[in-house]
Amino acid sequence: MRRGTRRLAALLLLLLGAGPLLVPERLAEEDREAVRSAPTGDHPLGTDALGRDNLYRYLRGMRMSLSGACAAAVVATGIGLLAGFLLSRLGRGGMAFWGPALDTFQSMPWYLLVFLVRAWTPLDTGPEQLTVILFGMLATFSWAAAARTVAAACRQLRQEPWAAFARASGMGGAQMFRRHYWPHLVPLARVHFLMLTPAILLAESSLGLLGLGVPDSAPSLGSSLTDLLQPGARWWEAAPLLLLLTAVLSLQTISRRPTDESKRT
Amino acid sequence: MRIFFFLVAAAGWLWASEVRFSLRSDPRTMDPLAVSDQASEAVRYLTTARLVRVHAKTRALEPELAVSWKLSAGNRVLTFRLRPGVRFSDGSPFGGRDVVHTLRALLDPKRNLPAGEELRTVPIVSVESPKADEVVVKFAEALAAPALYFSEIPMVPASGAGAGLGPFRVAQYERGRQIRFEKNPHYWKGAAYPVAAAVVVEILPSAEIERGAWTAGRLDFLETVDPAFFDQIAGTGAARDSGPTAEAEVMWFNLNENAPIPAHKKAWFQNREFRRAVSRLVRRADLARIVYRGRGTGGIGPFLPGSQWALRRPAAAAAKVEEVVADLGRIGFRRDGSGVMRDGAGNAVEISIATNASSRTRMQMLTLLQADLGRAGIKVTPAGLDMPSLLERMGGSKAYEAIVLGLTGVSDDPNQQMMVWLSSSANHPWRPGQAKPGSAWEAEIDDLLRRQLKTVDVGKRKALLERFQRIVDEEAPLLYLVHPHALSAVSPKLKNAAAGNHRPRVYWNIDQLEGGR
Repeated sequence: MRRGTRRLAALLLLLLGAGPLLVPERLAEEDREAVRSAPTGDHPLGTDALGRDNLYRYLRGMRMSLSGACAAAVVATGIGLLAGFLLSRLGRGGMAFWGPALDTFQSMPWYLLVFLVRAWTPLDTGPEQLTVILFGMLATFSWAAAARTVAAACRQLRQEPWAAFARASGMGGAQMFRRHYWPHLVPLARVHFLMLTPAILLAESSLGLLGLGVPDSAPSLGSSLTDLLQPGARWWEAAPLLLLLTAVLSLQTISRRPTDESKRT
Repeated sequence: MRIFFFLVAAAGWLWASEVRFSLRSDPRTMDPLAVSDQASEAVRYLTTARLVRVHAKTRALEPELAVSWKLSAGNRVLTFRLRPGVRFSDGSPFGGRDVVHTLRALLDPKRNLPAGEELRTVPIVSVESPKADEVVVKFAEALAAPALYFSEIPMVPASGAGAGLGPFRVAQYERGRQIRFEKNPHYWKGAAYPVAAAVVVEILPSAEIERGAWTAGRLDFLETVDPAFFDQIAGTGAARDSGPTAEAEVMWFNLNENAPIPAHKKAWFQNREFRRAVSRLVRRADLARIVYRGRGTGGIGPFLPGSQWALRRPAAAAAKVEEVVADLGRIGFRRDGSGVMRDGAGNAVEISIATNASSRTRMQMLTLLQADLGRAGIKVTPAGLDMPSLLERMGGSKAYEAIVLGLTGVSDDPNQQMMVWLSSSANHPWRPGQAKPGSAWEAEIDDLLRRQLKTVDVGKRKALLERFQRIVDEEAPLLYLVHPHALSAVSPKLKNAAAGNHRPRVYWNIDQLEGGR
């Protein structure tokens, strides 16, 4: 992967995040006389079923979903790192229990819990709080894979000859972690973060399609995508799908290992 | 010769017409008397028959298993004369003892069968069958039109066998996939009916899947379609708009005294001036035009304008915001400097309105209500829940502030509305199952509806129902938002179809429908 491509992907992500700054705030209002209108100068991507500007909602939704997914991925990766490191310190017996336990955790249909949590949440909970709860839950369901990988990596690092030498020379646990393990774990955490972000983004979109994602009054990619499923959807209403694909592909591009350009010459 | 007969049978099988439609879920029961869901109701409609029935289009009462009926003893005795020679689908004869068995089972309060919920509100003293072809029902008091109560009652055999009297019987049931019905060889209308040789009902759990099956040509009709899909098929000749229905989309506030909501909010909701102010802020015409794409009528009240019972009054138009704010000012509400509406104690007026998240139209209505009420500084938080959670909050924990839902299964017949309006009813939305009416106006509504039930004179009955509607207007316990049109899709290949605006909308004449297969 060329560095230029990765830079372009990063630039695209930045643009997607900053998108709402490009459209005026007045477009947030609903215009009941311009419902489901085609693209015009005032509304470059038309309006939705309630007369709200599509472009404004798509860009706001993109930023919201992207930032929510990034935050959730940071939390999930953090939990994964901590849990993985702790797991690596268990003996064979411990791992014999926790390994399958993690696999079971990963395979549980956690999305059903979203239904339950929404049912238990007080009804006057605002859209912002609901968004935080939703991404918080997605983060809680997503850390197990990172924990598995980190635990395996830590175990492997501990068996390296240089680690044995460091321990023999009297280096303590905290120092070992800071000096030797952490530099190895950072690239792993970065890859997990970059893999989890699109996964959470897609999960939020799926929940939005079911009407259980971010509430409609706080636009998100999921709620924007529902327009595309409606009978008689117009081509410009596919824009959120395009934004979602761009974000996911950009994140995947960035997560790939850069090609060493010196070897190519 | 055998080959000839085989070829004739094969040709008959190939040419036999088949009607195909869909249901959203599996029927919960095949017992006609225990039906409480729409899917089971559809199965019951196909497999059973009633003494009399209301014609879906003319709304006139017409004979079915009873050839005639007459009222006597000052409207205290109703005598049904049964059709001779009728047989159940298993060939056993139908007679007065089957009717008595069915009605007694439904009237038994211990069994509490869902199909008898409405019948048990009628003061029936006795049900007898003095002759094999005659059934006599005696009432404790004179009733206006008692035969109507028997129009939804499916007759079942006294022997307890699983046979029915409807045009079809279940031939094959594959849970989660489809139910195949075959012609009832003993159908009371004779060998010419039903016209179709079979009915196939596919179980399709969502509107999207249903639309896909329709587009693929697998279905002959869709009982209901949403306005968006209706617009999409408008040019194909399949779209049917049968006009507004009494099945309104309504909103109500939680009036339960023991509801787990703040005391100051209970005080707002109990105040009829507050409820009326909120009602006047709603731009109903916009709900009908935007959410229902013009395929709806702004909410008016329990009866549609064309109904003989409807109060003559214009459709509720949204009032000017300043007027509503002034009205709220008279009951202690004020807007602060930032435009937020506050009650006398300084609490910001914030209401959460819940609905089922799976309904796109209702979620859209909440968004519009949010803007409508926001004009007066009232903050609305829309809350989309899955249906079971919503019903649990509504009937169980009572943990909600306001709800938007649809009234289904009601018609312009005042007696059918009693389940919603009687304070003791489990379906009384804002305060269900009251031991005694919680307010004077609810007591008056109970009294008016019970009296109209017994009033034979149409003019007097109308006067009672007009008073009832005035109380509904004054107290605003239910805010009628929209009367959606009855929208359905009917394939041009389906013969004899005449969609109506009462349920069932398309298959009400299932014995006459002929599919294109």
